[in-house]
Amino acid sequence: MNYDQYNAEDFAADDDFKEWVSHPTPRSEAFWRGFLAEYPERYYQVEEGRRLVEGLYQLPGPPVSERQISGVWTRIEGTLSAKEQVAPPRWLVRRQHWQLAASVAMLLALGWLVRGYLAEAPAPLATSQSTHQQQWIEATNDADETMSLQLPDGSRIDLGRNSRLKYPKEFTGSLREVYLTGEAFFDIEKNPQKPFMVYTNGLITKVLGTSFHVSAPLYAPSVTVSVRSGRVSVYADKSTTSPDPEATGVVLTPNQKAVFQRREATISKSVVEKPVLLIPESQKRLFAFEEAPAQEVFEALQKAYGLEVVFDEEVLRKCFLTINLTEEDLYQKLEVICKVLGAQYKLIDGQVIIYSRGC
Amino acid sequence: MLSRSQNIDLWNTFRRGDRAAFQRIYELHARELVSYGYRITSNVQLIEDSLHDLFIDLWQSRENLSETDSIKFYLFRSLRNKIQRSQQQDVFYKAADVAQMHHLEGDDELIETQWINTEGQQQLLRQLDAGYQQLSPRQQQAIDLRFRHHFSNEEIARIMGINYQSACKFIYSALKVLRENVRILGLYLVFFLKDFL
Repeated sequence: MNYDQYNAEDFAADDDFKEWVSHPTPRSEAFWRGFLAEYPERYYQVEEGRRLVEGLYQLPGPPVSERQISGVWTRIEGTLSAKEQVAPPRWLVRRQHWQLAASVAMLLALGWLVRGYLAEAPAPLATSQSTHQQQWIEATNDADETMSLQLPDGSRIDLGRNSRLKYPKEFTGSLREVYLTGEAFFDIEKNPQKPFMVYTNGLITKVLGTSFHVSAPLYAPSVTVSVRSGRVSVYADKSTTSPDPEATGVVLTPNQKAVFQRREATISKSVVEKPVLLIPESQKRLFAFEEAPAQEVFEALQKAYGLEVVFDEEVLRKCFLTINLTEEDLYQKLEVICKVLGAQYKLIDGQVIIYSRGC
Repeated sequence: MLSRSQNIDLWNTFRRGDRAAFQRIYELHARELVSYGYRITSNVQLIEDSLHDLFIDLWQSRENLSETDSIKFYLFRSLRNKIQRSQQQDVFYKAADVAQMHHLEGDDELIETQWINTEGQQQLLRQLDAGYQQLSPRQQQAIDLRFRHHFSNEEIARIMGINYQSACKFIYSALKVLRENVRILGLYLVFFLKDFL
């Protein structure tokens, strides 16, 4: 090695040099000190190389949350337990486990505008991946009470009055597809390999392993999808014209809603009327702060409601808050915080934007 | 960090069907795998799905897996392959892109390397970060694998599915750019010499 010819990037690219900087041993320590004693003119290069190695290790990486890590693990356990279901009886003991696997609940209440559509359930889509040989079951609820159904994958559905659900006898394709007119409550078995799709007039709701509800007053020109937890993809059913209709849709996260205007086929994103706390009851803490930096308060807010709060850290750097808003809902919290800060907030595209001139 | 022999033990215990060892492997590597995933795609859903699939495959094929002393290398390479394959096949993930910011949580939940504390070093890191943002995604990926995840140049080439020369080139060209951001000014040198000698 002609280390005496090296410059900073050569050092940083050298495996031995990097090893010394990140995991020094008595041996490497001795070697590099010896080298520097012999070639003192390389100090600059060695130090710059060291800064590169140390600095690049310490650069803030992408945000990885504990919840994300434990969430994926729960999914892995769920999938494995589900697979073991079909295995020998000894695994059947694990049944409870399987039932614990995150289940998805959603409430669907859909209106329809075009009365003609009422006569027939919507035809399966051209892009639908279910086989043509599929045998369909159609459940109609004419009674005064909701009707409970169980789908072949174990998902449970409460079908509302005057509503109709069409579903296959077996979910054979790569998707689990059902067609709904009216309203229904869905409790979906989680299966990441087979997304669950609900087709309604003009709108497709795709479950990414989450819970949400879709609602539209009867005869209303719009459909509203509100998310309670997890992630949901919503997009207009225009599969014949666009090769990838979903790319034109929106993905919703908790406390966000999408409003689909049927006539214009546009989807807009906003915050639900009554945002709920996403933190489990057991972990609920007081929303109280004493002389806390504004940033800390907004971050707590963001965490509590899963909504992104956008603010200028620099401007708010000198802002401190002493408040107790444990009982208040999101909007009341925002009102108070903004009043104290002399700021304003707006809800744009499902996010909370804070406007402030600082303190 | 586990020693080499602990790693081999863990892997072999897992291959015999030990669920606890399996979970331990997940816990040891999931965070850095997700972190690495972000260098390949900005799509959180895709990263999480790939991580899920990777561990399902791992469990199901445990009896056919060979011995390895670098679980980490094996996992990184498999994750990259999974993400790339899905990106090519599935248009669904494109739609999920907009939700990528969802996982930004409060500070206490972030698994983050510690920042160095003195002001001069903070400044240095900011400069370095600015330079890092200028790099191409592939350069960032290679730099991360080398300096954040401590892979050798040879391993980086195999993880990224490129040849050894290309990997070295990515890293070297990136470092050349970054060096400008860690230039030593006279003042710093004085401190450094004092510290070092």
